[in-house]
Amino acid sequence: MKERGRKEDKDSQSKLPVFLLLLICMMLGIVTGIILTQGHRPDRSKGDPSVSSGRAGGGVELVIDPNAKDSLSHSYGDIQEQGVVIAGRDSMALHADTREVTVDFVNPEENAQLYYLTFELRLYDRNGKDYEILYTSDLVEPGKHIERITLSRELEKGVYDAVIHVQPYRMDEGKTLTNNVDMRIRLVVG
Amino acid sequence: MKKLLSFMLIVFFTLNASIVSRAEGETITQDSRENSGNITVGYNAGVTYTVTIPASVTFSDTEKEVERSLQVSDVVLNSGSKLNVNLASLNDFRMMYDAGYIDYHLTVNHNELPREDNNTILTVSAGEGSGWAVLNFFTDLQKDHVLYAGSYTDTLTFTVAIE
Repeated sequence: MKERGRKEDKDSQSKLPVFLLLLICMMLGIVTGIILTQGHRPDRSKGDPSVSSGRAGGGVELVIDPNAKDSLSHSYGDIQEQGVVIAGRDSMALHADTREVTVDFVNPEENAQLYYLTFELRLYDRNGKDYEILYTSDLVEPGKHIERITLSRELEKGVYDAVIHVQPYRMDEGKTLTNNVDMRIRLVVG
Repeated sequence: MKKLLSFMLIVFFTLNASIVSRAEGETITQDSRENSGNITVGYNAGVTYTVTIPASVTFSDTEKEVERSLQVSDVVLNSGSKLNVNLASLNDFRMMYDAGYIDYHLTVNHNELPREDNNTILTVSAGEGSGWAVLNFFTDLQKDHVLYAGSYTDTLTFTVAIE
């Protein structure tokens, strides 16, 4: 009987490492699963510190917008010589009572080596003449876009008349201004 | 020992199954009474367009007429609506430098554009997909009118609105 008891103890001792191994595998599986479901958020704070800044227009400091990220490739049709290509829309949806909003301000790849773009979000009054600037970007390079911006203030729920003012700059030393575009949009805050 | 191992394996597979379900973004439920169902396949096409504007117009002593074009492409609008492009000049169609100025004017598709601001120069209706306009800029530059040497400029704003 004692011998049988000793044998059983020996068997259970030999199974202990196997059990621990299984336990570790299980824990690894669970942790891996959780990481995969949560995904990874890209770091939006990385900019390109190697690009120098310059001045143009009325002495405004122009710098490359560090929030601009690589843009997906789009087809914008035939490009005219020296023309500035600008992608437009008719509305933007924002959340009320927050200054952090998601947008898509893109400088198409077709402007490569030609034009930087800046984006200004203007909120117009009821007369449609005076406006308040809610956001102004720095220079966005061709092929990049801005996804997240911080407004100058929160907006209440409602539909507002707004304009996205797009100002191109030549990609030369002087960063000279060119003609520009005002895109009239409905700002839907909900 | 075997029972403990079996229990642990059951817990392991149950947890993994629930994680996979969450990864798909859906809670999977099964009802043996339902053997068929409907799904909706959809595509939300937002209103979008691409506009290509002339970056600049440069006159010289030898070049007093310059041709440029305005193009709107990839236009997706709501049915029945249209896209308008209006043109405005910062200096009332005058190129400015210090106290001096040089007048200019333009035609749109060979029609003279009134000097008033915000004239519509291009309209694209829903379903057309694209549109373009030929812009011809003219200046009556007279050498004796130029008082100061320098770069005379004006800035044009193309306003795109959808009705």
